[in-house]
Amino acid sequence: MDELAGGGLKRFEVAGIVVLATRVNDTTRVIPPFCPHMAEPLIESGICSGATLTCSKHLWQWNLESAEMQGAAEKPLIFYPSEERDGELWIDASQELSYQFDEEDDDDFEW
Amino acid sequence: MVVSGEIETPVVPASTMTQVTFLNKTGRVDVLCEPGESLLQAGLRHGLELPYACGAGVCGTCVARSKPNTVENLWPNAPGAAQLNAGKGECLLCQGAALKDCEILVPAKIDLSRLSDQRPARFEANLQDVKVVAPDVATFTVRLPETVRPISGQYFLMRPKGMQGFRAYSMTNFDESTDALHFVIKKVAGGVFSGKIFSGEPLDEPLEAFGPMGLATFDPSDTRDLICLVGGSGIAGIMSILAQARRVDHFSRHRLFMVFGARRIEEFFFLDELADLARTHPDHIQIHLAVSEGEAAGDTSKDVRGLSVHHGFVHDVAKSLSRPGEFDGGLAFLGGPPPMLNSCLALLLEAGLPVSDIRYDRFA
Repeated sequence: MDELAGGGLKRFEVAGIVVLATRVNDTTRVIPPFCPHMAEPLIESGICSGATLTCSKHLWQWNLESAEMQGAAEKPLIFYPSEERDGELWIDASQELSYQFDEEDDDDFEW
Repeated sequence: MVVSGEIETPVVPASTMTQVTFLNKTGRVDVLCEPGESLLQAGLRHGLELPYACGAGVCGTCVARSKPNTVENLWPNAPGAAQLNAGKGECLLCQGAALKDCEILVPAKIDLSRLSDQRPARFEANLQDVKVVAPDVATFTVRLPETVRPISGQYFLMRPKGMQGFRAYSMTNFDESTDALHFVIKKVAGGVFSGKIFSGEPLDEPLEAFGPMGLATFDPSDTRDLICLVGGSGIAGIMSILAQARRVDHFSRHRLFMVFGARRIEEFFFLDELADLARTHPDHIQIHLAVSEGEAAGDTSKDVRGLSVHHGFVHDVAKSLSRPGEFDGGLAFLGGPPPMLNSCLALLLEAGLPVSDIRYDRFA
């Protein structure tokens, strides 16, 4: 947990799965390493300010504490289950999480 | 040639006009495309409010979908195309050209029933007045065959003959109606356009220009203080915004906090113009220079034309010089390389500025 004290996103590899973790107030969040918009690597484009995560690529934002979308964001973040035990962060990475990058509302469109 | 869609087969580029139908749940709009013209440029010419940011294959904002073998990919290795799902026919509007009459599915959030009043156009233009203003930095003028009405902060896409793709350049001047556009360009190793500019050879061949484009613009009726954080040639669009703000006497009522960064002091340019602006309303205008390499600066003996010089990156200097609440309620314009943009964006977000009040073009 000490590694998260400085704020921002930190990259970890858990059982071969890359995740990003951050701590906001008393909430720890663990997410896939990509923006749900266009798969931008958030370790480069993600900016944490207060409880807000911003992807600088197209300025999508989320509140990391409440998990709510903000501003231009059109898709929610997904989170790995995690918990703190004796000062260590435990992440349930039994299944790799990923985003569906297709435009859902276009899939049923009749050409 | 690479064609979007599942099957790649040899196809012949269209040699005549093609009819492209942009469609989604909001409607269908037919647009005639010139041979080889990008879908984005054709759509914008028609007044469609298509999604885009850079217009040059970099940002990936203009994703749409086409049917197999209908669209030629003008730049298969475009950085903005890295995440495209070819199996679903995804393409970049700015890098796709119709091979035949075809349909293009655009994101559902685009309202195809609306047409914009501001429609960019394509011009054959002449390049003039190249001046080297700093090491590896030059200014130049593009003369159009007719006048345009750009908004300050906008850019043009340009392509000299023989160059494959368009590149985006922000205007440094602002005139409500003009046929002379001024630009700044940085020398890029291996760059075709900058190579021509810095070659010293006569520039007598016309170039293709498309514009005006861009959404990182300034509304002269805006009543907010301005924050400008820029590095190197990223100052271009900000010079246009400052020119218009000065013209409407914005700084008699509102403040300007600006940091202009370069690696070394000899790399700055436009200093006479900035110093002149700073003198118009010294109580309201702060313009600082940030030097990221070399000896520490910051004492007044290092001032250049009355502009204070500080050592550090733009965001560091902006942070150290800003007072509490400096950015509250302001409107920010950023320009420069991606790492600088990200650092400045982080600074402003930390300061509580909403992203809707931070404007910049994503050219890189």
